[in-house]
Amino acid sequence: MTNFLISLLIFLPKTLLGFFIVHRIWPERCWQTLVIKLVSGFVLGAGISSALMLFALRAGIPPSTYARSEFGFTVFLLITMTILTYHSQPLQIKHLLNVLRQKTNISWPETALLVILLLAFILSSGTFIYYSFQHPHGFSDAWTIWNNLARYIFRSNDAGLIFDTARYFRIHYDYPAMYSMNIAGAWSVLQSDSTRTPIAFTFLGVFAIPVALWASVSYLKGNLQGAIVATIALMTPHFGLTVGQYSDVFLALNILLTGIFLYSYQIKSETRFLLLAGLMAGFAAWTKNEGLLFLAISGAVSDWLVIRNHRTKHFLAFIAGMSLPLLVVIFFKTNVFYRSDLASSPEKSLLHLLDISRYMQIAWAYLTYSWRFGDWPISPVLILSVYAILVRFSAEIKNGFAILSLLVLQQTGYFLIYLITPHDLDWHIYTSLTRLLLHTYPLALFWLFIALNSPYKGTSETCSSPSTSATPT
Amino acid sequence: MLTKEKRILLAIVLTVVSLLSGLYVFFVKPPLVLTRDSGAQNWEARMKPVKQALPTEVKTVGYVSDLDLIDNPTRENFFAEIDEFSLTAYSMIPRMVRQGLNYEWIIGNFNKPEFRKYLDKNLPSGYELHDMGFGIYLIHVNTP
Repeated sequence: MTNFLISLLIFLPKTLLGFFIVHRIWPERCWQTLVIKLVSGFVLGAGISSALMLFALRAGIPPSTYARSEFGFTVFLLITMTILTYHSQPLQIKHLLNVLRQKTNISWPETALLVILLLAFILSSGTFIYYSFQHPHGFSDAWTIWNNLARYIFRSNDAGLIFDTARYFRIHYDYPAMYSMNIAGAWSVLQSDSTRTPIAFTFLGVFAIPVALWASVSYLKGNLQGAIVATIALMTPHFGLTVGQYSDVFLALNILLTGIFLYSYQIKSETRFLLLAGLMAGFAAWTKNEGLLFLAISGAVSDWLVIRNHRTKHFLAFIAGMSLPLLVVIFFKTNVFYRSDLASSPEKSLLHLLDISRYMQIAWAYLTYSWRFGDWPISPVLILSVYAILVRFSAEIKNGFAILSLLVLQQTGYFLIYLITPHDLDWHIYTSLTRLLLHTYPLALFWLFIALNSPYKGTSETCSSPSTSATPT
Repeated sequence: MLTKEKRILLAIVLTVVSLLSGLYVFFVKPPLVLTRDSGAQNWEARMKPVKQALPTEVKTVGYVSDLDLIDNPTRENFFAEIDEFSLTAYSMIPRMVRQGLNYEWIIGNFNKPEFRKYLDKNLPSGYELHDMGFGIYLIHVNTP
């Protein structure tokens, strides 16, 4: 347990540094925005740190030297920034502390739902830790792709190894290295390849999702609605995948945050949200290959939003956000051996596209896997549908079209990949569809609970509008 | 449209149902993948003596298994092989493990007794065979 807790702490400095960057872009202060920024800071910190490590390795700096220097420098930077900010803008720090100390009169329904939420968090996190400790090495993709690369980087301490694919074994050499670089970096700081480190990193990714949903839905629809969606997310964490120490949960987090920022842009028309959405979507591509598809889709949706707002120049903010992460992906892909396992001849792809039975088979799989998603005794789809019929959709549903487009287009992309896959279709669906549904599940929950009526607004009104923000600009 | 009180009640019912459903998945009927042994920990333990026996300067080792002895491997044979090879490769990191016999040091993973005949046929005479337990062998081919 000690190594698990120490590993959690190792990821704290880069998370806080990421938080400072996001806070600089989006200075609004209330508990919900601070929490969203903290989660975004985790994604940004992990993304930037892994990208810098990649460039350091290319420059010939040994992984352990780089990782320990980065850790020390990040801690130093955080301390310096805190001191400087306190001296130059003491009011800002005091305001930040006041937000955290702020006491509000919480109604009894909010108290009841917060107690249930707390219970859900304890149960879910305790169960995750229990099963993760039972499977300290994760499942097969961890040994062959994710922790596998981290182990080579850490144990060899050889800067050039990752770029020389003839010297190591990895099932897909071109799979993005965000996860592996973070694990290798943390092991280098710890000076031990403890199995608790990937568990701690995955823990942060898994539970960042309900936390982000809780804060964002509370911010937009009130605390009650936020507590409901977070409880559901905590109780459908899909441990079968997350305990396996795969990168999918991090992609799901990136997709959710991109959706949250695009929605924020849609209702506020502030370019800062497009910049943040671009960053999150860009780092999605640095997390998993499916993130490249998501980057293209989120780019198209952003473009549609800015055109609809007659502010086409705003699209530059999205481009600015996604550019650097995309360059990292291109740099990585051009420096390692690349061979797509989904490529097949155009003739074969065309034959597959014309085969109606494949459409039926994939559509049926989508229906059954979605119905069973979460492994509840009664399908969450049924339970949430009944709830939606009873509470009805609110007027905000019209703003949710962009979010809905993101998740529908992403799944449509996966559907098309299944159509042309050169692999046995049954096997391909069996080994991947639950993972692919997990990618957009948090965003689907976000869309649903933004679109549905909330029981009532609760006590979060002070934070629901930018005009009420105490943000100095 | 439901009243505020009814919506609050419904919200509490939904979260309690979620909580109970989660409890069911966590404790009553968890996914099979969580309750069965993946074998990774045992494999790490099996590979420990191999790692200790290998000279430190050895960077690449060969790998041979029962699959090489079968003329027509089944899908099950093939999938078992994928897991065991990848676990071996994972355990041996930072050394590289490659399938084949063209190496000075080779890891053998055998359950079938006829593996000796296979090795005698395909390796130069005088090779050393070290039994590391659990069907794992470390083979040293003496090269001139």
